Amino acid sequence: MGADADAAEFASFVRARSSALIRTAYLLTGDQQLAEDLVQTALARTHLAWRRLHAVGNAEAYARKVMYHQQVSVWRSRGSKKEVVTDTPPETIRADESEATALRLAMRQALDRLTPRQRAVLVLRFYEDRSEREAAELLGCSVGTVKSQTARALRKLRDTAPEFGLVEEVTR
Amino acid sequence: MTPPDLRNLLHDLGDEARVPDLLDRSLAASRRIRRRRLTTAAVGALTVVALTIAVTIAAPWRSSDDPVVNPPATETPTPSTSTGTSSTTGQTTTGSSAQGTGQTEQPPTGDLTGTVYYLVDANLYARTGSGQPRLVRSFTDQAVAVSPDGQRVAWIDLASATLMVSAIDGSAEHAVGPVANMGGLCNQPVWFPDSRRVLAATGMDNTWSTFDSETGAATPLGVATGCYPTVSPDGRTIGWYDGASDSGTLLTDAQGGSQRHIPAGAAPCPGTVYAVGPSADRALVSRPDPDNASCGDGPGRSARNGTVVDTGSGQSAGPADALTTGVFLPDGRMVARTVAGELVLLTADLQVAARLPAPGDSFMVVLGYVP
Repeated sequence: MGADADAAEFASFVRARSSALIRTAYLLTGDQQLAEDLVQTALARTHLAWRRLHAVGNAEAYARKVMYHQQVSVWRSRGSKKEVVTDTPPETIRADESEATALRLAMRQALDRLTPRQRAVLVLRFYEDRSEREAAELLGCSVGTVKSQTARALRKLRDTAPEFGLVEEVTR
Repeated sequence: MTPPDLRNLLHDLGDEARVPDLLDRSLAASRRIRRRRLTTAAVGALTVVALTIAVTIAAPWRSSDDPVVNPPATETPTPSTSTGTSSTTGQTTTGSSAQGTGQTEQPPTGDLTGTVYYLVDANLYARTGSGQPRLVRSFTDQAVAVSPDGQRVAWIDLASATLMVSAIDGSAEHAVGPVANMGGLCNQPVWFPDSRRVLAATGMDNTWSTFDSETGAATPLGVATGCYPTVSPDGRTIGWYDGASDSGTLLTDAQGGSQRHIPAGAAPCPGTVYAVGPSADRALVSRPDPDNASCGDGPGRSARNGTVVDTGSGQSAGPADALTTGVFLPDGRMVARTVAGELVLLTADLQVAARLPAPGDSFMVVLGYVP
């Protein structure tokens, strides 16, 4: 395959998958700019490895893995947000906001109080619908760590936003 | 609210993200990374040329009786008796592999009568020879390390974000110092060969420090590195997972400097380095799954399909068995678990000298072997 064809196929990949990647990155970071930076880095590294990745058909898996590692494992200070612990309750939701908007706002604020890895396990388990085993493999930790991080994340969400009434998740 | 509601909320929240055109930005970032790599490679090549010229000029004046010049030690570990001498073979080890030294004698072999320390989940076990495994202690997480002399254990208490150390039997437990709580990811303590100093991450920004486990004194590494470190038996090299590189496998000196990556070869995903040989010429790393269906196990403490590679070329150096976990001994031998479920002792030239059925399941992580 020539360079032109590679370029065209990479461009096609970016256009097709940017939307899904940016949503995951947004949930991981909670910030549009950080999410764009995260996806940009993941795509840049995917581009560098494009020929061999494309040949085996796992470019998106690679890009996602780079994102999780960048955000969770490698702890680049630029891209990781530290846990913010305050005594201040979440911002009051205005009465004129719709219930859905209010819930989304509350969820965003609750997620901001999680550590990056707690966010990551929640995104993997409840957004990407990955099993505990898959999440452990992707994050490079034990299944026990995924379980404990998920439990802590849900507990923190419950404490931060009791209106969610979250229950313990079912193990898969 | 039940988990399905959480799913819906996350999907709603994800939909808030705007989707910019990232093609030009990612291509520009790709070019920057490529330029940086080329610059690094050029500097490396010039260094090699300079060293070659220096050696060529110096060679005529060196007597054949002169000792071979070793690379400068970047730190001076105090070897303990158990790591400096192989009790199985009775040979005093020097911390360098037999590879490439021109030695003609057979490398030491031995058997598996020593004690292997390993984790399954967060439970630390010991098994001596082919005896029954003994549960040493249970922890809350896998961030656990056994000292090379088998006398002490270090772990990270996640609740208090503290590096803890105790005797292997749990006595003399004490806090060494504050570390970064990464929830069991990335930050794994690792002992140096003197069985006194422990490396652990102290900052969420990827900073690491070497702790004196007795005094608590912490010496920060000078530069950012990676995750899941592993120290070579001579204490001179640290292997890291570096998710920001294609290779994933980073080697540094004991201060985090002299960074170099193990070539990735044809690997489609970043690898992980699980153990580094005495002279850093070899390392146990992960390799892609045969079906290439995923990026393997990701960083962590055991591989799904690991192999020992030449750290210079990235090429597999053997053995034929795929490995999941292992440790190098100071004399270049290795104790490892195979994917097939055996515990093997490998000679310095990676031949299988002894086999035993492996204790534990496929998720066992070999933490140490005391001959």
